[in-house]
Amino acid sequence: MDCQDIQELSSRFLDIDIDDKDSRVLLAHVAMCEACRSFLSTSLRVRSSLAARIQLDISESLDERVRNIPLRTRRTTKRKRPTFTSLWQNKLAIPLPAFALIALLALTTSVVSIWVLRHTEPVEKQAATKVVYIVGVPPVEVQGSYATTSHHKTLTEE
Amino acid sequence: MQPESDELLLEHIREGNRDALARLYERYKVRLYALCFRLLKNEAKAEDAVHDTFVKIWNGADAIEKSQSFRSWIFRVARNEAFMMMRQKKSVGDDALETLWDDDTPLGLLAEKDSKEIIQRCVDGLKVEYREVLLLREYEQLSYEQIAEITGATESSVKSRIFKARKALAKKLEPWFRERVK
Repeated sequence: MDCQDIQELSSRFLDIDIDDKDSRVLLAHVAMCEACRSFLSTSLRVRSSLAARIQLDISESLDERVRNIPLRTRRTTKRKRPTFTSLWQNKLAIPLPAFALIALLALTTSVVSIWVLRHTEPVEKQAATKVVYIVGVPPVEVQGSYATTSHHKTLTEE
Repeated sequence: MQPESDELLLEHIREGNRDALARLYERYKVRLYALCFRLLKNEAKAEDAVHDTFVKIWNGADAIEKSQSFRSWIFRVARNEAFMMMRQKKSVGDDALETLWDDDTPLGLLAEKDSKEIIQRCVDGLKVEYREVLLLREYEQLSYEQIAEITGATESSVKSRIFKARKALAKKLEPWFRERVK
């Protein structure tokens, strides 16, 4: 390694970007080489000088300008399309197992209802085939037309 | 009480909370101003760059990815604002990289006796491409990766630029330090 490589290593050494092996090579070289030692010590001085923060005066007008940004600028916020997750969390907020149970019950009820409807006869059809027996009144044959029930007519004519 | 994280403040800004913007400004104003001032070497322009950075935060809070490092993002915005202002003055072309100095005043002409002032003057004299990476490394103590994220350069380019900046500074400062030892 020549001095250029060592100085490059020194720069990375200052930034803690070299491994132990390279560190040993670097320190061994620096111990013997005046130029590389000088580079390292000057870089360290620059570092400590820059790290010591200087006092910068920020004018109050900047503070004021920044604080007034919300008043002066109209935000162009993009309205996000509600996702299923956000809708679920913000609007419904039902625990998933509870929702699954409700959904299962609803599905079972629907299936049972459909099955019942398919396997029972309509009321009108039942009424049409209904046989009415009048107990205790003998069958009477009536002549002519009548508007009321056959049972009443039979009684009045008699 | 623990201070609010940057991400939480950003969330409040997204909701339109003005106080959150003020708190974020208080947290970053000195560091952003220092960076912009060191890059632009002009107080008024540095203030404009910081102001425009916070306008971008207020208007573009929704656009900031949650996975992004906010610290890197805010420095990148401030740095870009500063560069934009510099471009208004002059264009920074590739040919500018041939020399590392913007201001190559011989040290003998500098009146300052304090080594900190001398070093600061030399750093300020570096070309902006070298100055910005050195400042982000030494002043903000950011990693190569974060500096690369801020400047849009590769990590190896950042390493190389930092080394070249240190080398140029060492070359300029060594005689001065040697003289002082005598």
